[in-house]
Amino acid sequence: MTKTSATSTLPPELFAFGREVLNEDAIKVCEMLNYALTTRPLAHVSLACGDDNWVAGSLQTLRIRFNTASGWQEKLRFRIKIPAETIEVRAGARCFMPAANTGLVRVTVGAASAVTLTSFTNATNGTEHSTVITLVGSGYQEVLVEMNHSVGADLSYLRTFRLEEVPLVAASLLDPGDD
Amino acid sequence: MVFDGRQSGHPDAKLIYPYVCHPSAPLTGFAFGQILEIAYFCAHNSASPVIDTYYPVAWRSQNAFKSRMLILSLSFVRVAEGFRYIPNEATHLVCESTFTVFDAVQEASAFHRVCTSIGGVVNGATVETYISVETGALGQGFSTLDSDIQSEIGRGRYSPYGPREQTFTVKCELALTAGQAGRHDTEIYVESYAIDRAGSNALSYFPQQYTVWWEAR
Repeated sequence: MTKTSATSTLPPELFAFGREVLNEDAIKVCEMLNYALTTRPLAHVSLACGDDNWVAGSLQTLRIRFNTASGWQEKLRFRIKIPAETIEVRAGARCFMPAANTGLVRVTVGAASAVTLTSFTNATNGTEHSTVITLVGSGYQEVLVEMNHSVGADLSYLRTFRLEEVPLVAASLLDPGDD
Repeated sequence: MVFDGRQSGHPDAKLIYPYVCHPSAPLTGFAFGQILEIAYFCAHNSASPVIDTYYPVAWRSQNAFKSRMLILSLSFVRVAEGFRYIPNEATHLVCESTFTVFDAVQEASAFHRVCTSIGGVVNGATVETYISVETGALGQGFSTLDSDIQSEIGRGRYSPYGPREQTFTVKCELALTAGQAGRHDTEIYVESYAIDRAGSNALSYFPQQYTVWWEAR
């Protein structure tokens, strides 16, 4: 069975009493239901983590700073529940780095390999770096976020962090159950 | 205009009629209409979180209060931010803001708006919260505040002259325009500030928690 997800234009008379029903009508309805499911990715975490003045006049939120010394350090650890049809999540972060400082953020989800985001520098302060992580299995998975102040020792911090599901592709929809 | 289940009836929770589900019942287009209505009801009511922003200092003892924990700006300051994939069917971004205002000597207002960065900065509608105070003998404290209740929930007092803080929760929303709707992986943020009637910031704004979600209406 080909699993598809699409928006369709259904014939208006389909919904009238007495109208004959064709196989393709059922397929179109199925496609629309699949579309609604596949394009609604769930956000597991989306946090503002900035220190004081992450924009002018603003206040510290979670205040997650880079260490002054280099080396990986655990900053966040939490569990998320992954539905069976989800195969990928997107991990993204934005950091504040002063000039001549470089920071790294590494994300591990469950049994998947740790992924290090593109390094953060002063030039990328306004930019979120994100990556797609292919999951190993589903259900409850532990997420670990680590940070490494690889260059420099000035005050630097994580500004935002998010982890959300990537919109599904139709092929990853669960197979219908057998009667 | 696309004709779909939305035109088939009000998108409200309902059961599929039992006779439709009977093993001997013929399949009809009407049954499809009911199936789609229920699907739209689910979409309509399953608001999805977009960003959560917390100010943990709000939960500490207020003995530790410092002016740096207050937003003193006279214009919009960013208080929450995040990135999120917005799907096609989302029509609104909604923000619920929880904040405290301090030490007002006269009527004041707090302003909130939720914004996206799609196609440059597009600001949502500003929501104003009017804050009234009473002119009592102790100076001007917020009229609805009960100092005993205040102590009971552990907030303490900021001013020695009497209770002068009040916590609010307000909603503001951004109706996504044609340019903002659709599949976007974008930055979303919330801005706010508070100001008194004289146009100064004698009233101070203390952010606590902001949650943004999208809705399909």
